Amino acid sequence: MARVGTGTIFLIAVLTIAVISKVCFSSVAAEAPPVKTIVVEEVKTEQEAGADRITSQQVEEARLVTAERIYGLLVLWAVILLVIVVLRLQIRDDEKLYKEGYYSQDLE
Amino acid sequence: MISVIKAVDERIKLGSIISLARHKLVPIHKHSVWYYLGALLLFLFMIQAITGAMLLFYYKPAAETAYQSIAEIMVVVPYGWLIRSVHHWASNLMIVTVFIHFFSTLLVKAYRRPRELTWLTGMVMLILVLFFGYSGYTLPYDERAFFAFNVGTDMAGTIPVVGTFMLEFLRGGDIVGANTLNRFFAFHVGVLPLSLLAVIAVHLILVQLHGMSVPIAVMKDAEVRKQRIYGKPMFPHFLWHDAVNCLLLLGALVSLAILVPSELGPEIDLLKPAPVGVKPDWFFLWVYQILKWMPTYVLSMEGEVVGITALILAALLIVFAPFFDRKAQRNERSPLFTALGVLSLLVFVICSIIGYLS
Repeated sequence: MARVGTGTIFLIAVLTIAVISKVCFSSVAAEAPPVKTIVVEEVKTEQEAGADRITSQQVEEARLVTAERIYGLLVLWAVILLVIVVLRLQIRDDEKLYKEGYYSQDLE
Repeated sequence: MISVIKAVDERIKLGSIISLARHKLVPIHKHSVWYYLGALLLFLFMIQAITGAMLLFYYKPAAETAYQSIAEIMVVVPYGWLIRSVHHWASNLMIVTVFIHFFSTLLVKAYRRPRELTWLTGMVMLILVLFFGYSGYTLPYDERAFFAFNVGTDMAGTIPVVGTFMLEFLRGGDIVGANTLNRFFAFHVGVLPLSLLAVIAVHLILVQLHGMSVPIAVMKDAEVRKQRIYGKPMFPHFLWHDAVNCLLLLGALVSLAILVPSELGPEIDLLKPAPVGVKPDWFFLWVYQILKWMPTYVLSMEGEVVGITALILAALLIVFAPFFDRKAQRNERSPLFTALGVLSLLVFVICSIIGYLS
């Protein structure tokens, strides 16, 4: 059972690292090359100057709850519940050992 | 896998740490549920550190760029909206958890000897977490943040004796502006994380040193029944329970981040008058509401100054409760301090609700 627990922790660690790498290694720089910085320094008309500014409407669109996001959330909950089931089995196993006196019970 | 664990164990004596944790017992009784809050707080702090570091890659802490960089995080950066929302909700949940931890510790009198220092470090953590929340709230530098800067620093300015110094120190001048944002950024990513990390370390060492406190009522009950209070090992029992709790919290956190993503208010327009009903963030609503109720003058003193002074005195009474609560120190029931705890909880909840609705 301890191996199942170790395996679970290993699985969580791998998933966490995978998610972090996905987020960190894709950057704004990759999508918008450094050339853009040079463009900003060019003389612009008043209208052009605000063209690359993100509007509050774009921010609101980014906040929308889409079906894809709900699907991702359901997958996350499925993984969490699966890991919890494994952890509960581990806890049950430990409870048995505790009742059998495997662990000390006296409070210092 | 097993050989890797063995190799690590050989070098850092992992086995001896586990063996120590196996001997560390957590008392089992009807109030044991409160013991889980510490681990949840630590988990939330870790989430804040990770997501905060991610946001730091893109956030530009200057008055001209801060707002747009947050908008970029929300719109352009892959999963930026999610990372920012998780950071936002984790900070709120951290403040909720730290308040529950504080009130539960106060009500079960866990500050009794020899845990006075544990309590004091906990109180420092509470203050740091609140300031963390407030400084983070202002960093988007939107309209809401601008008025939060004004309201918050104004409140600090009413503190007797040090008020004027605090006001100028926090604002970086007389008025809220670019310097204020710089200072709050420095607090949020430099001063506060380092301070909190140091205090958490001391708090955890003290918790390990003294173990978990058993409530007086449970001890008395065990004495009457002539029963012993048993304990379960921290490792693996509590570790697995903590893992389950943390996973549920993670699920709730991501759900909140996806279903209610953090907002970005309108950009600051200095020519616009302050919007009607500007309020601080929820965790300072109770202070805001109490100050709102204060009359303009109390005995020829400014009402706000009197209100802030009274709140500081009440806070000091709670901070130094371990030294005032003599009965609890003798492991006797102390109804006066229980009443004080219940009263402070009621004031916090009721004033926050009224402040929110008003």
